[in-house]
Parts: sequence; structure tokens; C-alpha cells
Amino acid sequence: MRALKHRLIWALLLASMSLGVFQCWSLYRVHRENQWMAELNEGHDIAVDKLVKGAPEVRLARAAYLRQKQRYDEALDTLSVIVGLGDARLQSKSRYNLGNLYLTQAMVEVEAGRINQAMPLLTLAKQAYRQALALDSGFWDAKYNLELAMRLLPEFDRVSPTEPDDDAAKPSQLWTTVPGFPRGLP
Amino acid sequence: MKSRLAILLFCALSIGCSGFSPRPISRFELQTPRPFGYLIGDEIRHRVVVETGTDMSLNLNSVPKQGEVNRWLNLNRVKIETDAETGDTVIDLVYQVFYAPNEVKMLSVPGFSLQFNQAGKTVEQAVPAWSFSLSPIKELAVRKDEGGLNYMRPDALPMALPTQNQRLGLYASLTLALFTAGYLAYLYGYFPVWPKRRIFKRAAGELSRLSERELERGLAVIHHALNTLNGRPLFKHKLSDFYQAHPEYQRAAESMEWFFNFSNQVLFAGRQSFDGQDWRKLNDLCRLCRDIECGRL
Repeated sequence: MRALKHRLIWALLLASMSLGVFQCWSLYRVHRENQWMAELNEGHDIAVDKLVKGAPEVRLARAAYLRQKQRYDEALDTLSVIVGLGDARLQSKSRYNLGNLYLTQAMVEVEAGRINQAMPLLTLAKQAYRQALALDSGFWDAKYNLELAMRLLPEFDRVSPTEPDDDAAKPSQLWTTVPGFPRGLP
Repeated sequence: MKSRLAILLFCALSIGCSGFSPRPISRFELQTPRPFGYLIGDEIRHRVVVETGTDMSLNLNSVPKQGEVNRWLNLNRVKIETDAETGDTVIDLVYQVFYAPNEVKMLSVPGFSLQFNQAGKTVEQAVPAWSFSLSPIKELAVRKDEGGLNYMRPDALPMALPTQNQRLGLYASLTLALFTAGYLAYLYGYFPVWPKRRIFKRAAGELSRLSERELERGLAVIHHALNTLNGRPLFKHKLSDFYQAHPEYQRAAESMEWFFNFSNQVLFAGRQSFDGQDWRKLNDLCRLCRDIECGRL
């Protein structure tokens, strides 16, 4: 019994030291990933292989970096990988950034007068913002940008408490609107 | 006169009898939040409280389903709680509005009808529509950013990854390792403040410095160690008392028996001839006692 107790004490020591080493490694890894995110936020790219085993947050930071550099396709690929990962807050952010990506592209298309290309992008942007807000209804930036997207591609409404209207109907799949802000407003 | 009396009697009976048939829904309440100041993406929580008899059951199909209610309204969560004892039903509905008004706008959450089943019959309770006002966030004027595009809020950057869990785990594991190592150091007699845990450690050290020819000195070292452990001189005939006080040394009983016999022969009977085997046995006894002292045995 004493021998068993003695072995157990040694085992406990080894286990606690192993745990300590593991925690040290985890701490180092988190610090390293935070460093990568800081680099991306400052506008410096990191090697792609670092993303492979990195946390989804690193990919989110890189997607933001890529969108800043107008590398939209790469940003979309990066966001597609993480869009369902992480907790609700992270998922909300990745969906919001996805919405931003579509909205930016849509605005570029609108400015270039390519309305047909802009419409599906705006629809995708609105969908992404809605998903972000469903996950976090207090996400102010998502609210703002969703409103912007909805102004760009208005869903004509005739909502009134008195008259039953089309708003009660499910959204149509047909393109019935033209994206863009009405000019000449005050 | 008689006909008037008959009418009065009929009315009285009607009123009296009506008291015996209770209303199927004794209480209905729609609890709603403030009806103004909402923005796009806000959640609106409604609670429907219905008190019925215990013989009535809610038709779940009459409760709005989670999902899209209409183009601008989603029903995100539906929670139904029914108290089987009292018959109370509480329905929590969480709507989310996705409407982008250009100005403050009055909208309405559509009403619906709840259905209850009672003895094969259906009892309905209307939940009225609820009006509220929604405001815009964005100004109407077109605002451009440096790139000439419409101003939009920037990407959300991830928060720095938290390290609290790792730090906590590290501190906990280090503390545990420290305590365990300290306890082992105590068992192995590394603390001079606990000399009782170092008796055979010291004896083993002294033996290692002696040669085979100094067997008598070696015997004295072991005797001294045993005496120190016992608290007084230990003799062969007192071994049973020693084992009672230190039962863990019972494992070394055979070697101790040999030691005391051998010691008596050498120290008192004048035995002069010893070989390497005796020296090894002496060292083995010391090691055995050291293992017991450390708790290894």
C-alpha cells in the first residue's frame, strides 16, 4: 500500500509537470497567434502555412487584411473556411465580414454601372448581415451596413397598419429593384 | 302577471345556470415591450400567458413556427411552457426585425390564433397584432469614403485570444507539481529540519565511505541509525516493540534478525572471519531500511 501510494505521488508529480509543460506550450501558441493577428492588423501579411493550424481568429484577421488589399477572392476563400467555426461571437463577426466583402464588391460594381453583377452580391451581403445579427442582435456595425445594403437594393414596401400589403408575403426571387442610392436628396 | 313571473323565473334560472359552466380560458395576457425606438436587427420579445382548465391542451400547430414570418420579420425563438397542474401556458416569442426605414415607421407584428383542444372540441384565442415604430440608423444623404465608395462600417477584427485558461492551468499545475515535489523531498529526507526522515540516508552515506575491512564500524553505523529511529538503544529482544512502533519495518524483519545475530557474533562473541557476503548483506539492510524510510516499500 505504501509502495502504491509512493508511485501515485510520483505519477502525480509527472502528470502535473506534463500539464505544466502543455500549458506553457498552449500559452506560447496563443501569444504567437495574437502576434500574427497584430501583424495582420498592422497591414503585414503572414505565411499561409501559419493559418493551417492557427485559430479561426487568425483567419478572420487575414480575411480582413485581404479585403483591405482588395484581394476579394482570397478573402472569400478564407472566410468560407471559418464561417461556421468558433463561438457565436466569432461566427457573427465572420458573417459580418463576409457581408462586408460582398457589399464592397457590389458597390464597386454599382459604381461601374454593372447593375446585374451587383444585385446578387447585395442579396448575399444582406443575407450575411442578417445571419450576423441573428447571432448577435446588438452588433451595431452589422445593423448599419445592413441598412446601407438595403438602401442600395431596396425592397419596396407598402407597409401600413391599415392596409394588408405585400410585406406580409415572402420575398420574391425576381429582381424587382435597381440598386443604388437615389440622387438629389437633401 | 303569471307570464311575467315565468319570464323572471326563466331569466333567473338562466343566470344561475350560467355560473356552473366556467369559461374555457380564464385568463389571457399578451406581455409586450415598449412599442417605439426599435432599429434594424433588434429583437422584440413577446410573452403570451394563457390560463385554461387542466382538461385543455394547446394545439402546438397553432403556435407560430420558428423562421421567417414575412419579408422583414423573423421569429428566432419559440419557447412553450405548460404547467400540467394549473393548466397555465406561457409562450415566449423572440422576433427580430429586418426593415430599413427611411424615416420613423410604424410596423406591426402579425397576430395569430391559438387553438386549444377540449374533449374533442377546439377553443380559439386570438393573439392580436402588435404595432411598434422603427427608426433608421443611417442618414439619408450619401456619404462617401476616401475611395469614393459609399461609407460603410469596417470589418470586425478579432479580439486577441484570451490566455486566462492557459495561465490558470499553468499556475494550477505548477502549484500541484511544487507541492508534490515538496512532499517527495520530505519523504526522501531532503529537508534537514526533519532529521527523522534522513536517518538511513545518512547511514547509507556513511557506509558508502567505509570499506569491507571496516565491518565493525559499519555495524555501529546501522546500530546508531536503528537506535535513532527507535529513540533509545534497540536490542534484538526489543524488536517486537520496535515493529509495533514502526510496522513498516516489518518488511525488513528477516534482514534485521540476521543483522542482530551477526552483530552479536562480531561485537560480543569475538567473531573475526567475515567475507564480502556479510558486507553486502549489511549494505542491503541499509538500502532496504532507506527504501522503507522513503516510502518506496
